[in-house]
Amino acid sequence: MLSCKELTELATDYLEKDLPWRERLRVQVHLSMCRHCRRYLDQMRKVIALLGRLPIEPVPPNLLEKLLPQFREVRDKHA
Amino acid sequence: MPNEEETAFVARLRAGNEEAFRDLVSKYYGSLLRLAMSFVSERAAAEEVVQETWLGVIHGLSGFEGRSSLKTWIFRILANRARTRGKREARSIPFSSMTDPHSEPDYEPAVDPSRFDARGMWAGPPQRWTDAPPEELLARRQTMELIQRAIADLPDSQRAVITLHDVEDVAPNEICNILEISETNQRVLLHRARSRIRRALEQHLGKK
Repeated sequence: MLSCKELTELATDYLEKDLPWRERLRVQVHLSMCRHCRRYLDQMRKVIALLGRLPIEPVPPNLLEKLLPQFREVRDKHA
Repeated sequence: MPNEEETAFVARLRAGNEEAFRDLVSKYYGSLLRLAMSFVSERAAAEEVVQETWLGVIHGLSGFEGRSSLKTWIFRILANRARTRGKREARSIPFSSMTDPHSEPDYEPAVDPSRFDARGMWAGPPQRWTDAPPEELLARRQTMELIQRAIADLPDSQRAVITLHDVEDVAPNEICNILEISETNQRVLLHRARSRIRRALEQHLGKK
């Protein structure tokens, strides 16, 4: 049987569905019997969920003032 | 692959539509800053890289062929600018030197080996984490700071990959394209980065 240590190394490939079916099955069999590893994978899922929801910084107010003249210049050159 | 909506949007940009350009900047500014921070650690330098990227976008739009999505194309410009900057400042370039991840001297296990017994089964199993949803956790200043620090503490290459994959939701093949790394390498770096962040959060999120 797959060890817990091995499972922690397969966690990302498992979650990304990158494992060959045989390996995937081994992970699933292990998970069905090991609550610690189920918890480990839940923690990895939580990490992914947190990273995917990080707040984003707003555009600084003066940035467009700097960029728009450049945008116009290139546009007018091509026109 | 770019969809119809994006093709129409790109056409507006190329026609010089200012509203489209404003939309473009507000859509990607935050992402570009995050990605730039994954290449250059200093805020001021990251902002400069973002500014240079926008200039690259403005000048490159007429040559954009739509072979990748607009987002990937812009991210690639940023990665190139950041690399050029790294060369100029004689900073080590993390990505090109990492073709074989297994030969890295800093090979690291996902979990501290002392947490397992001789058969590789958990001796110190993971503790239960709080059930609070991600939004609630991110609203807590301490948790937010811990995550940001954990990301900042990652090795450059790991930080770039996890930022693209998990924060910006970029597809793996596009990440390889942007960072010029192999698919295997991308997977290893993602795995290590996620494992490190889990370790960094482990105590903090554990149920008291």
